[in-house]
Amino acid sequence: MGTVRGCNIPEDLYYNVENNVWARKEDDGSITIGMTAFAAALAGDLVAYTPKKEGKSIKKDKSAATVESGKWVGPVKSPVAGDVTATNDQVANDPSLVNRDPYGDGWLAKLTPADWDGDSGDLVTGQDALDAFEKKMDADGFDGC
Amino acid sequence: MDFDEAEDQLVIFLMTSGPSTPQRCATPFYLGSLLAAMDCDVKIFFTMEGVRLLQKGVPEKLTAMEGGKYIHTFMQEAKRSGVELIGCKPALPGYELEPGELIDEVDEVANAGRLADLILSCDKLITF
Repeated sequence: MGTVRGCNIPEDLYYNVENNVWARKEDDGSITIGMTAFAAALAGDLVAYTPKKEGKSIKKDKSAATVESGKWVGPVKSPVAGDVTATNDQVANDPSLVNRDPYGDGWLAKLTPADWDGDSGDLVTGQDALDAFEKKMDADGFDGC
Repeated sequence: MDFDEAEDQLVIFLMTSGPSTPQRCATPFYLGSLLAAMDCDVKIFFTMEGVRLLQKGVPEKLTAMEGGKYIHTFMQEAKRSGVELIGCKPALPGYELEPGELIDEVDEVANAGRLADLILSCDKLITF
């Protein structure tokens, strides 16, 4: 389990560091995506989550959902292209679940990927991800989770 | 029309409110950020008193409510979401403003014809 400046960054996930999102390939071939602990820390306590609906197609790096925290709003950009198969009702009822468990119950969408092999090639994982997040946090002047 | 059909929609905010009505000056940027987060193409066109929000030193000191975030912060967050800010050139003289006095976040200073094009070509027009 990787940690960068106090932020949990699991090494088995795939990340788009610029967009601060993660992807995980499940055993059934589906992809689960969400915000990183770093992103959740930057956003603060989330109060709203608006996902794209099941059945909708999402292009790579386009919004899968929007999240709001008090007076801030931002996108959750999908790290891979695909069709939405599930959104998270638990998060809809309690958006701060993302802050508490960003890689578990706080997931934000499940997709059937259009091209996992191609899209995942642009993502980073393992030690490369930890190094990339350290660099981003340094550039952003981020003190830590 | 909803989030699922938002991609590439052109949304124009016509911002005429300014420092005399500060409580009207945060929401357009927040809503613009939200629409940009939904992958809409969002542009905010400042005219009439709205151009005063683009004057250096004004949005940095203005809040919509006591103790709230500065309007400049809302504008910067909107910019980070991809929102474009356009100032109305013909409106500047009325407030004794020169283009060089505007904040760095302004993408463009344009004539009324640009606004007319945006109005006629956009999917949604919202006025504040």
